[in-house]
Amino acid sequence: MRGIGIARAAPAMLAVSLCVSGIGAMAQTPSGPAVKIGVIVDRSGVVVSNSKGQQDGLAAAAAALNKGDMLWAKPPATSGKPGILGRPIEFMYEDSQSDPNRALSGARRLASNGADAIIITTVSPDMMQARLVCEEAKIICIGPSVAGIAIVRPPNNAYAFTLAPPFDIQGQELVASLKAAGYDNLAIVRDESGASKAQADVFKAVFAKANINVVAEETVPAGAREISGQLLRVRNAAPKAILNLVNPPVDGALFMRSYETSRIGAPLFAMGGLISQTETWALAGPAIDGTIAVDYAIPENSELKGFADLFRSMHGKDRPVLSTNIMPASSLLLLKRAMEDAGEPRGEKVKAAMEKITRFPAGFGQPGYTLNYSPEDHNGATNASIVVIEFAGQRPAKLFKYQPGK
Amino acid sequence: MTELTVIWEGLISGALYGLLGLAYLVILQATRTYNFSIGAFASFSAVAFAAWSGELALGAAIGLAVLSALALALITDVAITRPIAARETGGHLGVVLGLVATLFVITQLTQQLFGSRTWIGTPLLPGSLEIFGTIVSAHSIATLLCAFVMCGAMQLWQAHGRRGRLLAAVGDNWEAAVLLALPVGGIRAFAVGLGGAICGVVGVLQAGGGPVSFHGSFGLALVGFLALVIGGAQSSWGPLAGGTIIGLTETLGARIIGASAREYILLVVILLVFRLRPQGIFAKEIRE
Repeated sequence: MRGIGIARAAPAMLAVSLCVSGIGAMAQTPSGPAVKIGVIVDRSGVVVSNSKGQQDGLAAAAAALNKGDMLWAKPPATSGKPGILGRPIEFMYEDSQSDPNRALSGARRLASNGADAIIITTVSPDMMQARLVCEEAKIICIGPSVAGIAIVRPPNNAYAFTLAPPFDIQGQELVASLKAAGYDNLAIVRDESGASKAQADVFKAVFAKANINVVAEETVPAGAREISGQLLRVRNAAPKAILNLVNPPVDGALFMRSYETSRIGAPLFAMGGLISQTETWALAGPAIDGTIAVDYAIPENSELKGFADLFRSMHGKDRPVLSTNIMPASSLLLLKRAMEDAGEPRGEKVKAAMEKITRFPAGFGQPGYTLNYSPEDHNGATNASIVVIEFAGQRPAKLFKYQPGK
Repeated sequence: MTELTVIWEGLISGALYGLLGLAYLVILQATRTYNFSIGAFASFSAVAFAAWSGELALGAAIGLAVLSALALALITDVAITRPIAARETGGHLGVVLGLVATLFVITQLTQQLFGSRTWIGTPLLPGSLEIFGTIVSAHSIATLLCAFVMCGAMQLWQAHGRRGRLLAAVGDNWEAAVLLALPVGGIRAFAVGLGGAICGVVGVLQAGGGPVSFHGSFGLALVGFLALVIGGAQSSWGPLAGGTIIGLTETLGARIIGASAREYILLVVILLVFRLRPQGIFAKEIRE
């Protein structure tokens, strides 16, 4: 009797198990019209390497989400539905060449082509322009790595959100790192761009408040063949440390290589710009080792192993996983959360939902760091977003002895 | 690093600028046109050499880079300069605009072929020396020697070589050369190719000495032109003299005042030259 019962039940059990597994498979596969995410990129300007890294991070994050993997934002931080709103994620790209005018026209094209949100992977001036379009179209603009605080301040900031800490917070942690290393004066070497000058000006104000003396400030002209004059002026100022704010890879490599032969000897400090310009690491050679950089990601963070494995399977097994890859992934997770809380991909409800996000796992920063937004604060970053790392073997390799909050 | 480093680097920059000015001069003599695409020829050669020197033997990479620049120069002359000049009834504005547009096109071509990344080429000679506490790379010594040898060879060639004297004659008085049935077309092609090859050499020397990218065209076009204008167009040494003045002005200006004042100092020097010696340093004395 039992055998006959099992024999009769087996087909039903098989059918049920097939249905359950089918339903499970369907639940992990997004369906319906895609949620379109516009991406402003730089394919030939000054932040090509940084932008490419961010695009690679976005691609990996979208692949994970489309398979139902919520990465470091497992429920209840996100809904657990695949894709966004159960729909697949699709990217549309516009190349701004880090030119704000092109960023504006690119954002307009993305909006008119149906983008539900725009992610800016270039520079702060681009986002300052693109946010105008986002406010008109009532879609979220999010900048994973831009640090200009003016982006999230009125006017026209209603739909603009950022993740990276503003320059003054970065400056505070740079000061703390310098003091931890015992340095009370430094020289600044920067490139000629407005962004680099703005960054240097903010840092100088922070240094002045902290009684850190800037003994020299020199520039590396765009496309310069040599910088011997500038390095001699730096050497004669006898700085205890040098802050490297030279971002374009060709100029950054020139600075590093010239610095090594100059035998000045003062240790180099840098910001996230050096981390994002991976081209510069190889071009700089051993000169980059020992550089202390204020960045946002713990090197080879074991908590992000799943993301790192997926990222490397898509983009190369030897690729380091950097903050430029992780922060755009966080942006996509934030958009998912806001759109799903709102129940739709665009409009005022999404903005309101973004402004209510608190304690959202960032994936970057110090262990346990979370992002918190409000109607008054569209940046969400604190000092704990920063990780101070040291280069070794021509890549970010280890944590510096000083870390925020420790 | 010592104060001598600044002077040495100024001389090396001057050598490169001077060779670019020499390329301008050679093409100017044959075509009566300032070919602003020269910056793009040199930049293409620099990036190409840097890319290929990692894959090919050094000699092959040098040869291909120089030939590339030569080919670009000839193609530009045949496809852009000659057709536009044939249609112009007065002045050279159309040709100049066409060449500036060509500079943009070749810059984009460089990016398409080699990407946006930064490259570093193989130095022509490895190693370095220490002279009075100053580190001097063997490649930079080679750069300086190349510049002197090429300018000197050009001067001798135009004074004593058959084709060189022909080029000098065409450059002095193109109309008379045509009336005398001199092979103006043939010498033009030869000179344009030679100018392109000089740009190719500049690219190789530049890439072997430091990072290069496709962005470099415009800067090279400008400094080469200034080197010719300051140095004068009446001698092959003129561009080298002009380039040296520019190179030393850049490095000494950055040393004494700072890099941010570089362009202002250069502007003052250019204005002084125009005021005191508008025909350039090397200019023919004409008896009245």
